[in-house]
Amino acid sequence: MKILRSALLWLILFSLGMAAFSQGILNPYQQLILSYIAINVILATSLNLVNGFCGQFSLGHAGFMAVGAYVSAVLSLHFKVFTGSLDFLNFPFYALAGGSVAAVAGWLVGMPSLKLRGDYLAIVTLGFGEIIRVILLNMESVGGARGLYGVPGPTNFFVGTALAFFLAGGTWLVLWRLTQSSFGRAFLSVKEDEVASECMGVNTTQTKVFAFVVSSFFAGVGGSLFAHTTNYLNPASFQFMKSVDVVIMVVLGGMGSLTGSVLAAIFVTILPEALRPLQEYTGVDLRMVIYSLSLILLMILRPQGLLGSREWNSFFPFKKRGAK
Amino acid sequence: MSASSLLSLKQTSIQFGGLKVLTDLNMEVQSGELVGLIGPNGAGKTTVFNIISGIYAPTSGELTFRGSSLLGKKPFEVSREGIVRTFQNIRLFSTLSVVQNIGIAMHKAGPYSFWSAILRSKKYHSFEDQFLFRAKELLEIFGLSHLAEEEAGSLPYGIQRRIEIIRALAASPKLLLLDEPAAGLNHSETEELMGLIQKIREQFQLSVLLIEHDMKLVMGICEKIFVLDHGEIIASGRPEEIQENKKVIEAYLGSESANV
Repeated sequence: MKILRSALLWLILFSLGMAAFSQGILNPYQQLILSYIAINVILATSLNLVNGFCGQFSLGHAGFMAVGAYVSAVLSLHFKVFTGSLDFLNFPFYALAGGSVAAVAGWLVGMPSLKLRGDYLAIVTLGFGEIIRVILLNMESVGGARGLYGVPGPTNFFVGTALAFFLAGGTWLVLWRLTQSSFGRAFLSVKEDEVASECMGVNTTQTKVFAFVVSSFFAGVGGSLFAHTTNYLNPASFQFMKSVDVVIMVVLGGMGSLTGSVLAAIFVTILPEALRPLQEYTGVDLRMVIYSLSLILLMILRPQGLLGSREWNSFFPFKKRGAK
Repeated sequence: MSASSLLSLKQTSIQFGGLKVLTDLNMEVQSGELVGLIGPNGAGKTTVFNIISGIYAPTSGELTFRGSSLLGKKPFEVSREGIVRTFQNIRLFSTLSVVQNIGIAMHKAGPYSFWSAILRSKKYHSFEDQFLFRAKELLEIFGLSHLAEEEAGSLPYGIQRRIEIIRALAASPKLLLLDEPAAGLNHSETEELMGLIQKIREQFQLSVLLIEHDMKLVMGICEKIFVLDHGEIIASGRPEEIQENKKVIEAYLGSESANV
């Protein structure tokens, strides 16, 4: 329990540090990009759990993100637990709720489709993402195609950024510890060889569904963060391309490397923004051209992704914790 | 035979479409026994293993392990019952380290909950320590401690075979199924393997059922042999009996019996 406390402490310090940094040095535009990085880190690392660690191919991350975003937004419009100066504590609560509903959706989608082997999951999740989007498009109660306006966000930007990084850091911490445990080994065994894994006593279906539910939960958390950062939701934000964006981050960073997903999320978020000045010089929008070219180049030069399946700690000569 | 029957197949058959692969199989393995399953190529030996380990469901017949039926059980449930197998074409988790491979076999020991993993509770630490300790112990028995952190797929073939056996042992089996453990091994490696199989049987108090083409190995260490041909058991008994069995010689040993 002592360890938990210290991990939590570090997490809080980290998020406050990031917030102080963003508040002190960055302009609001840059601060917004920082929040987007946090969102994308959550999405990419959580998708990596399914696509990278378990070797399943999910294309519906935007769908789960949408579920989390809308649940969280609707809750925040009608429901408040904390008031006054503790107001910002509502947002972790909304994120938890959004994540939980997304996790249930993940379970419903994963249960039938993960029993099958192969690419069925890709088709099913792709379908799920589109269904969610179309449902939202036709739900007048959440604005339909007009979108959902006035989603409250943390009023204090300091708190907002801290919250974003608290959630991103928390996601990282949970996923990291999960992948470094016996469950993580089970995930990898499913990717490596499902038959052998099953014969070694791993309940592969359960393992896959478990990973999928955890992944969906964090997609929902990411969606919730997105809702309260942009203060406006539109079904068009959760199109199929959004899922593909997240898949790109996972592949780019390296399947099975959380560290890689974080780096890729930062890279993919910053690059188009960093290329914005170029447009002002040339007068033509070359951003997407350069963005795609750099992705192609990276894939040619490093087909296994930036880090392959290595994690941050493999770059430092740590002493290994041996058996007592 | 005796009441201590560990695994028994009674009238077990399987067919794929119109193709009868195994017909009315009757086999028994007593606890503590080292049993061989031999037969010409395509006789259905691996299919027998696939049925026992739950990968295929038999079309008809019985399959019991320690008195309870294995029918309808999934491979992971069979493994949890205590039947663990190796594969003819090595199926290690090749991009993972040797220790991780062993760890996966120990996953079924029901380590700890999701929350323990996230909070790194006492349970988490004690299991992780225990697993590393056990992995070391097993690797030491096989003299492979120095390979603990190596990527399993990058190791020489003979060593991969041994690691597959270690991995199976880590899953704490009561019955170990070895599918051609000597395939691809040279003479001295096979000799070593024979000693090893006998050693682990005594040390871990296992029963072993093995498929093998190497007659020297089978005749040398097995106490009982079943001969399978065209999906039927054509003979069973002690090695000497098998060697003299006319049917067997006809079907399989023929030319080889001379150099056994």
